[in-house]
Amino acid sequence: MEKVGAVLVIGGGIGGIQASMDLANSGYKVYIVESTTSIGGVMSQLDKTFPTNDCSICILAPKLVAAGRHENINILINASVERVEGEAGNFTAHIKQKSLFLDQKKCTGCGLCARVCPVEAIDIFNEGLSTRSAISVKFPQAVPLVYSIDKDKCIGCGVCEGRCEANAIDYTLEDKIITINVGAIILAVGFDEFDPTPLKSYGYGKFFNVVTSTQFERILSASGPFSGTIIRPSDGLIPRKIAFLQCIGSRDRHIGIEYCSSVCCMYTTKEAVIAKEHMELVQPTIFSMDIRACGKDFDKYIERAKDEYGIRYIRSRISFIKEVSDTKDLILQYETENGKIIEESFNLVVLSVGAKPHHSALELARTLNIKLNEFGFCKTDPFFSIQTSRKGIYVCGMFSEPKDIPETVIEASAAAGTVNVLLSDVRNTLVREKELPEELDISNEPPRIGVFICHCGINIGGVVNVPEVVEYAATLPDVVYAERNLYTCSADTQVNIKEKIKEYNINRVVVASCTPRTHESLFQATIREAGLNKYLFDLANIRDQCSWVHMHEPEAATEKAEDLVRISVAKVRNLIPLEEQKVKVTHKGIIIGGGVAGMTAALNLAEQGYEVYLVEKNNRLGGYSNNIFSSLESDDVQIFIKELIEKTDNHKLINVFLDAQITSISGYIGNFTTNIIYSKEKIQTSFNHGIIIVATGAKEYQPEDNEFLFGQDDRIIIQSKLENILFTDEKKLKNIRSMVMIQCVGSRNEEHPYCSRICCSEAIKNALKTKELNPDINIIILFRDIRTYGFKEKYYNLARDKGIIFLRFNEDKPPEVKVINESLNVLLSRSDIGELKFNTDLVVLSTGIIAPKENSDLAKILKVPLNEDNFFLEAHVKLRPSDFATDGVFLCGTARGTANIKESIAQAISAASRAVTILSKDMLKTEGITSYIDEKKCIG
Amino acid sequence: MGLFTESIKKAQVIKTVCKGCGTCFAECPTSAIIMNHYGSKQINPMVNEAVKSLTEESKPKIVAFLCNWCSYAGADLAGVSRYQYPPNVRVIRTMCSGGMSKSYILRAFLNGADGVFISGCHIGDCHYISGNEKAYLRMDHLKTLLRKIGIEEERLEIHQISASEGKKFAEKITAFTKKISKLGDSKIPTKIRKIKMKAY
Amino acid sequence: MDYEPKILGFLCNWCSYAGADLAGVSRIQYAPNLRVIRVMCSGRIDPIFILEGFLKGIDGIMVLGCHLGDCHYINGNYEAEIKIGVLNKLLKLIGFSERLILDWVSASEGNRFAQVVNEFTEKIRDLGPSPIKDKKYKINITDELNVIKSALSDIRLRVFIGRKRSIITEGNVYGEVISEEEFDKILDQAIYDEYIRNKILLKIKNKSKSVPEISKEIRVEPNRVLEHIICLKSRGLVDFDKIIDIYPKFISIKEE
Repeated sequence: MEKVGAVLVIGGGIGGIQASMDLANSGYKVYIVESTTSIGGVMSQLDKTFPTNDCSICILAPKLVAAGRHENINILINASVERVEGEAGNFTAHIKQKSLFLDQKKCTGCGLCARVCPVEAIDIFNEGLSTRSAISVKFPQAVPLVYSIDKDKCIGCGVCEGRCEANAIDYTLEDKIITINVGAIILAVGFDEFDPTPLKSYGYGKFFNVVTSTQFERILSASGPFSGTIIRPSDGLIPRKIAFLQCIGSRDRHIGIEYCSSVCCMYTTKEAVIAKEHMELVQPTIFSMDIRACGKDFDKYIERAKDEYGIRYIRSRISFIKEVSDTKDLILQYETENGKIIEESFNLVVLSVGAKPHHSALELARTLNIKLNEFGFCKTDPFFSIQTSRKGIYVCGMFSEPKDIPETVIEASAAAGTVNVLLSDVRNTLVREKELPEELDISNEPPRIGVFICHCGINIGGVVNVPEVVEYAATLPDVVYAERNLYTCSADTQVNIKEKIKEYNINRVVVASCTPRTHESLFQATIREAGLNKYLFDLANIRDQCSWVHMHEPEAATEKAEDLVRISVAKVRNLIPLEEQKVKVTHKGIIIGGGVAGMTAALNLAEQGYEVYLVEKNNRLGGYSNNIFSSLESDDVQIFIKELIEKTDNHKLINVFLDAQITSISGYIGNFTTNIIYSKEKIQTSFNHGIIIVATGAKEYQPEDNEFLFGQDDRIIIQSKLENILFTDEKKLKNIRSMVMIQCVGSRNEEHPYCSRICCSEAIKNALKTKELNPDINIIILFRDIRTYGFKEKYYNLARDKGIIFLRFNEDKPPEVKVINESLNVLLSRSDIGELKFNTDLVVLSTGIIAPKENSDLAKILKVPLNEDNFFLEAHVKLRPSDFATDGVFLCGTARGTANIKESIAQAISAASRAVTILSKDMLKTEGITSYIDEKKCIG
Repeated sequence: MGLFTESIKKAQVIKTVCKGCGTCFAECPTSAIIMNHYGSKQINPMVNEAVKSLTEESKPKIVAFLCNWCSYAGADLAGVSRYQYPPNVRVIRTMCSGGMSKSYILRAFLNGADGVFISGCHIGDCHYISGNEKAYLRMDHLKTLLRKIGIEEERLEIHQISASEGKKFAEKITAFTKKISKLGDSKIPTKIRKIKMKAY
Repeated sequence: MDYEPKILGFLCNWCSYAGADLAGVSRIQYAPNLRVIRVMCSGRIDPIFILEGFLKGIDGIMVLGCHLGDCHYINGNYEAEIKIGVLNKLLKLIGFSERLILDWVSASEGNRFAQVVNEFTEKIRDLGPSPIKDKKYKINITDELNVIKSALSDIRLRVFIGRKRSIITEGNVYGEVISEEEFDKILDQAIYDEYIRNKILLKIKNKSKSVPEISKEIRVEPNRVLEHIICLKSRGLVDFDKIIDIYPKFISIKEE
């Protein structure tokens, strides 16, 4: 069976796009099968993303454009997978592509068709808050930017075809079946939103002013139906008081959905914060149970929301909503911390709906012969969260478990990384490099400028007098040719431009049309195909910054267009050809840190044939995982680690250096040199390599002297010690009849203002193991929030079912540990219950993760930044979580922030995958636009 | 990214890592750094053309310098959303506000621009990490310089506009154009006009 | 002053106009209130003409064409039927529906012509003068007529009107025939929606108003008013004017 160097990615959301880009940049041909008419997924519907409050579409759109333009990515829209045959390395997939009734290659996305269409249908992208025509584009920044006809709604009047100036519409186009050959499949189909209609007590669908969080996202969005003004559906007024209800469709055993949807606490806070930013008079209140802010900088975001934005958090789960019939306001009932019942009215209620398995889950499971888990999501390997039950088929993002964007991006890269190992021997077999003619040498020629002015249908031509601008352009000095086009970006015009360049010996080109941000690269590619250096080009923006914004002043707009053309001509007159630098790549990598993350990354690279240097500061591999015995899901971690260490030690391409210290690193992407000292004998050595992966891990927080009497009495231990006892020395439990666990020790405080993410799971894991060994031991867990996100929620429920008692404490009234007459006591003060005293045999402190001090030394050597908590800071917390801003350096594991073993493994493979986009190349191209120094002037 | 090597005391550009933001060129006190493609050789003629008017109707003339990643994108978004604003502004795009040399702004005023509008990314969001911070400091110095040569400092406005702030861009440009209209045409003292603009 | 109904008649050249001539040739007498405009085909009559007539104060309008099946241009009178049908639905919405009639008179029906004219003239006499001439109703009726004139000038309804006949008889671009019932379901909703939308546009033409204000004025549920405002906004006809406290106010930015 021959392996195929191509990959099928099912789903074009952020996960699908990330996986596709990594793979296409690593030498594989990629097919993206997207069920709607544009890639982008749910992320394209969001207004802003937490915790940076970045505009979602702003950070997503460049990725969409890059994927749409990539030579080796083929996007099949309106498509679904019908049948798959074959096995890992060689699959045959039959894809059904529904007709758009439109020729994708001809449509320029001008939108005239939609304006004349008489039909009104519900706009799903805007969550039913607005309508769209039967012929429509999914959203304005869609990639590919094509319109399509919704046959169910279309009455077939034919007006759109008549209006279309590009002759793109064709009612006779039929569905097609496309058969492709791929070596691996990645599932990135995302999720469905929970529909709250069946929960009658919330009145969704009945009460106008009860909306879902996604609807609120569209209300907030500047490109949504209300342009970002917060308006409520019943009467178009601004709701002063907005209530957000958490856990709608999550953590609810009554409706059979017991898991936590992981992202709602954060996205609700974001929506509340953004709402307040948009309109000062809005007062948001969030009704929640535990606040699950366990990611990097998430707790800080919540604190800012409370302190800076005045968002009110009330810990109470609302069970029903009443409507006031005349005002359409809503009444909620809740219990305060002191036990009082309060009724309060709100003007708008937002239901924070959870995530459900994607509706295609069952069908995909059948078509691909993969298993789903008990919750209906894709079942994955216990340690490798991207591995499905079938070899060669991988999964990333929400489809396997609810998670946020950075985790999805990490898994997407990790899926790509795993494909890399499977298909590394057929890398670069199916990709093409575009064949280009020789670049002409124009250095001795005077400038001969060609100007192409676009009508863009009526978008420009309807306001600007284009023929007049063409006439004017022809009079400018050095302009040898000027013409106008209906659509300068259309395929036939590219042919025309190339012809005119040859015919008139044009050596500089100006296009006056839309924006260089989307179209510059298109025209640069066109002139390059005609033999001109791509930097001999400029684009004058006479649409987005002229005809569209001066619609009622056609004469002024025309004069402005002429000015802008003249300015561009002045620029290109002085442009010279620029060369993109090519650097050779050393096909080796260095991994700093030999824990789970480090070893996983090393193995991933080595299994693809790249030599790696694994540098570990201690005298053995394994890092912190040597202290872990079991995962929350009862997987045997020690066996896994042992196998991992064995594989690492035995792989001939992995060079392990123990007791090692890095002394210096120099160079740049593709060409680094590192000096180290290793082993007890202090041997010096150095290597050349192309990439660096930081996997230096973190440390367990050791309680200060006297913190909860730690160190004063050996009945007070930390969680990892308890785990050690439970799994290796259970006799020590013989005399234990009760234990009290205290959460958040060393986390979520002033010194470490972040959540360590793993401690709640660890505590519950150890509590359940204790109960397994001796069901009679009483266990009390004192917590601030229980953060068993995703499917871990199941174990929280299990713990409560097994009689483990959970009691909450406020951060300003933490529990006290006291020894009174030799007996160990824990005191807790609660405003509703009063003073509690527990007499116990053991106090277990759930300590968190802290960044080692050495991080700042390594950061200086690598010239990479650290965040406020001393963890390494990635290039972009949302979309580039495995990269440093410095090219060629990557990070993974607890070096980056708190993570459990499964997450660290995914991050490690993700970092490796990112690294391979460099290692898989022989030469790297760098930016042509650079500066240079006139040494005569430089004064040092 | 430039670096100082031990032996020669001259600055060096490592082309492979240079991202082309232009901040070095704009900061160099002796104009020893030349920026390709978005440097003075290209931008100077653009500024010269931008201040020229084909008719009286397009006065007052406003030249806007917008950074590619944030403010130019914000202006595009204003267009996509059809937020109208007066047609007096002529936009010159640079990759980063860090690459907006003071000489460009001076050239604009000395050649007759009535107002100059500068915008870059919000602090913390710069595509090149910190180019905008240097730019904003630099432009603050420029205001002092303008006052000294007799140009009202209200004629220069510096903003932070992100890619999602289309409406804000339209509003700021509209307000600025109105303000400049009230201030009237820029009267550059003739003795200053005689200062030769060096190729810089 | 005695009221004499002013009747306007659109007669098609090949049938009804010839029929009128025949009445004349045969000296058949009929009420002298009718003023005739000859068109080549009843299908030529744009509903806007009729609305212009009513806006100018005409008391009753007749459109007379060939009998169905006899149109000199094959389908013209079917098209007229559809156009007048939609216009009638709109006129009904504003309570002005009794003053328009569509009928068929052939070139050989001189008598019938006179009869039709007489009957209609009497009906209009009984109805009294057009309410637009009454100071009490003038502004309201003028506004309402302008609203439906606006609705009928916009491309949406005109597409439905223009394509209905061929879609329900010969088939649409996919070769499918849509039943008249199904088509009318969509069309009727569009008629009502466009009427309300143009009414809203009129109400916020010079002064911006909030949704509850508009809702009270036109007596439509506020949530529906908001839906219409969103639609008008996406068409570029309405925008936010200002926000006073919790009241966003919308204003028409439609170019007249």
